[in-house]
Amino acid sequence: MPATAQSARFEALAEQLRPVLRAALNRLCRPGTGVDPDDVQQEALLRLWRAVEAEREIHQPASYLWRAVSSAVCDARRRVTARREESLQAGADQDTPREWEAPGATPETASAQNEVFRATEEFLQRFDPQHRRAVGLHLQGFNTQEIADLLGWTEPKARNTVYRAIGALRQELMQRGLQP
Amino acid sequence: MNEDDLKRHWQAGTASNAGPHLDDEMLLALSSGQIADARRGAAVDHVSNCRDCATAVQVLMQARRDLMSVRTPPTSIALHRMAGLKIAAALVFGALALGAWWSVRQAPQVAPVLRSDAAAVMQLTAEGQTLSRAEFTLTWESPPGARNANVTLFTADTTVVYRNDHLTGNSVTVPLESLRNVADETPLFWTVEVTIGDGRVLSSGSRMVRVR
Repeated sequence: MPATAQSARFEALAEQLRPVLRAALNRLCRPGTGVDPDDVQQEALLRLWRAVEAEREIHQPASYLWRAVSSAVCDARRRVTARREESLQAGADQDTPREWEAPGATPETASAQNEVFRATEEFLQRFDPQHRRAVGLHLQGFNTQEIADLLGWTEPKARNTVYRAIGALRQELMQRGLQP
Repeated sequence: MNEDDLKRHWQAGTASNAGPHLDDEMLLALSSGQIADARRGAAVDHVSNCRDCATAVQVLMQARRDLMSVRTPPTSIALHRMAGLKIAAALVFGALALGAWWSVRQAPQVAPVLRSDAAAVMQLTAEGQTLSRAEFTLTWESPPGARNANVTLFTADTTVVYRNDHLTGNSVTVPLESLRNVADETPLFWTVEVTIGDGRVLSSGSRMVRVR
């Protein structure tokens, strides 16, 4: 394939890839993780270029893009995990706020947070595994369609399960006098 | 108890899960729905209790959806066929019904003839142009004798986002409301059909535009 055709093909793919890749990497490589999303993106684009260069013809562009995004996401995740472990070993994590900690969190709020977490864990032990997973996924921020996809359920089943369980959980926590 | 707070507590509590985490293969299988049932339970169990893996799965699922929405079917012909077939079927059916009615009435007029002529209606909004959702105006040039036009704006899977059958000018501004559920940079496709004085309907091709 002539170089200009390769460049055009690469640009066409990269144009579609960039916004998706950027959104994914920004979420994984947040400030404080020590991983620069630009670096990961650059390497993903480089891999895409090599793939385009090696192929005479690309029959399924979508699969190229998915491979590029998924390998970049896995790469970013590994780097973030590795950086965190390095920080823990160096004892440097104490000064770095974790992503979930609100600025100015006090030991009291952290303790209350921990208490709610433990109570939630206990509460979930009463459910069968599938229901427990559904509620856990909901609390992790998955929507009901995603929960259904992950569990192999229908969306209404996921929605009803989560709705009922969360209602019961809130009551339980209120009875225990736990407020966030 | 606020649900967002509940989530925040759960995510904080599961953030310190030291692993072992799901490996890449498992992450990809789970997020693309291609995991064997025998492995699904344990994998989902882990995700519901591990902030890191949950985030990775969410990011992958979202990326997959994003890629599906920007995937490259913009072969205008194929898209036009998909949307056009539905419209053409409705129009042909309408024309047949109208024809039958005319023959019963023994009216001397000629029934409208559907004709597709891509060159007859020229779309002026450029192919691939990105338009602001606040001012999403599509323009075209009608042939002489045009009476009215209809514009259809649809997604890559032919879901109609906006349709207006009663246009008399050569442009239309799509209301903000119609674009509310369309994500930035989503490719949209539009066609315009113009009815001319003798009742014929002239169609444009389909063109891609993006919204921001």
